[in-house]
Amino acid sequence: MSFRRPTAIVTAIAAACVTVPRAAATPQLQSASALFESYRTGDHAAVLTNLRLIRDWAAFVRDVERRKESWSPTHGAVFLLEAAAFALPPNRAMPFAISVRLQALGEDLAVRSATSGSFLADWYHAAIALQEGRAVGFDELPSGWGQALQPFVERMLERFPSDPVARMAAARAQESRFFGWLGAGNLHARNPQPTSPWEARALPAARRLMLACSSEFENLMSLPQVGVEARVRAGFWRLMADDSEGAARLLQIAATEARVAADRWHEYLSHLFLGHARVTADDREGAAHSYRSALQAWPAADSARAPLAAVLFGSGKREEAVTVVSSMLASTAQGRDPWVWFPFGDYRFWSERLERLRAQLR
Amino acid sequence: MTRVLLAALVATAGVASGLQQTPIFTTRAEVVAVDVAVREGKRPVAGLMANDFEVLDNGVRQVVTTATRGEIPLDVTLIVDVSNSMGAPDLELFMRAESAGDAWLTEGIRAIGALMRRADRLDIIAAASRFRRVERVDGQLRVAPPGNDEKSGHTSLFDAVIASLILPTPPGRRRLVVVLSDGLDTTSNIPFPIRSEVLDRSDAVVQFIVLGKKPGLGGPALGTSCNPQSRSSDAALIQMVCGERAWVFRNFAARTAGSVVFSVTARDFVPALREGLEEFRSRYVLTYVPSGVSLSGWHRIDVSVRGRKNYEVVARRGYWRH
Repeated sequence: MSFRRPTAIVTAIAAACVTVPRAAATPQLQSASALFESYRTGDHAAVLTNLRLIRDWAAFVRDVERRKESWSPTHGAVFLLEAAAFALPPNRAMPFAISVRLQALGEDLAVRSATSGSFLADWYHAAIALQEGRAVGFDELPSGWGQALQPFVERMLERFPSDPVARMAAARAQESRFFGWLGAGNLHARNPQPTSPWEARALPAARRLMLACSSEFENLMSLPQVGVEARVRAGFWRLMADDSEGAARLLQIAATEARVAADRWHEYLSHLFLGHARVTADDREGAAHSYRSALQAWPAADSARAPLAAVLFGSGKREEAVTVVSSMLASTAQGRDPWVWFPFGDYRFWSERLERLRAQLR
Repeated sequence: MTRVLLAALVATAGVASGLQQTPIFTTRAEVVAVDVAVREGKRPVAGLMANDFEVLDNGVRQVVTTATRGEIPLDVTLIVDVSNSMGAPDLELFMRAESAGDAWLTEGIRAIGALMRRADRLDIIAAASRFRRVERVDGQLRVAPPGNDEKSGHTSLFDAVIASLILPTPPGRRRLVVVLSDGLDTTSNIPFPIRSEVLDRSDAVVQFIVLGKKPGLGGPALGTSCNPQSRSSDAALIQMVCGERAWVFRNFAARTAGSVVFSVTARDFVPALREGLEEFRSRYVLTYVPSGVSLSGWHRIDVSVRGRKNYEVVARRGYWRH
């Protein structure tokens, strides 16, 4: 028996949440070419409003395939990337495969544009963010996130072999299978001992793969722009592979680097994972200190608050633990939690990278 | 099943107003209270007295001073998974569900509210990647506005349960945590060793009601992925996570002397709630002042009913004292 899903409410709320720009008050279904023309003239908001009306995305793709040769490649590449983004939450109006296809068509145009290497690199960076964002919703991870990202990133690396963003994305594509199958949280919070014979067989193999994953990131730690993230991820996978000492060494350096670089996102993650490593090493005081340091770097996150409360409670500091939990339950803090976004790589940069592309069209 | 309530130097039991009953905790000594379920087959056994029970605290026989059944007011915490996989995309939806009158979830919340007695209290926590207390204001459910993360549909269910277990049980009350979820947890972050410590130190009992077709396999999409017959090269890993989830539910229940009901449908949801609550009320709460044992550390508890080996007695495994 299936559950009664409040689909009607979802639809109503989703509709209510859509901000319709004044310029597009009366949207009409239009062909891909008509929408592209509007887009080319800079009426982005109207185009997005009309894209929301599309129900038959397969027909839209066919229309694009027929018409795109006559489009301005630069505008077309960005337009198709924006259309592909309808696979992202909260819209989620598009099947995964359609989004991937639209992005591929956009890539053809981006490569053809050849106006500047800079535009193409920017387009690829935005596309990487989009690609990783499609995976939001863990149940969709096994459906091809990493597998789709890998060949795409490899194509970028053929053109820009030393691009740090692409090299990091390639490493993240490798790690995605673990997030997909295991679930990030379950992976970390799981029982370290096997609970069944088949699990006993699977665990050592999984740990070997995680160490390999860590090595991939360790190779990228000296790269500019992404070195801190690489070190954090390397430390995280060391931790997952039960090498808490190795993890702590990497994460301590990452925390310092992140602080120096004023990168609070990765400072938070470094301290958070360092806290976990210290729990593994049975250093509860150190763990509590690390979780507090994480919260100093990123106060709105709950992902360090919950383990902090648990460590305090387990150490007999009940009143402090209750205070932490009570504040969490009553919190009105908004914003992203770096841990929740951790598996989704560059998705957090999607909006700013898209905006950068749009700026180049003006 | 059982709970241990370490009523440390409690100032006269805070028995809820309106109830005429003898306070079960005293100020004179440190009293241990233990939830005990006694069944014969599936039927709860009534009519037992304090001297019918035998309690061993770290192997040392104790004198049970009281055995109370069904009289102590309850603090029920209902944790509702409001993540995408439950069909509730975010806390905002959860907030509005009642006014729209379209959610089986809301029916469940009303049902559990109706099962509360006058002195009982119901606390609702909405859990996604964050967990927030749901307030009732003018008949509407209110929860802190969702942040960006809730919209992406992650779930830190196990962390929400652990956090709720940290909250204290007021003196003279018993605490039950009911968890309604499809079992799909993606972002829980409390490391295993400290999670276990909280489970062992809390005095609340956890009951899971897991919605879905297969035990612990999560929502429909992941249910497919969890098929052990999958020909994917990652089949072993899939089995691992699926088995792990079911294991976590059972582990939480065992450590808190709670229970797990798998594969509950929308139709069975309210009856499952009612059954769980009735089972909890049917338990005995035994109290004793520990003697002949050390004051600190882990105390293993063994409870039995004298002369009735055919009775199934379920109690928490032990308690911690600092």
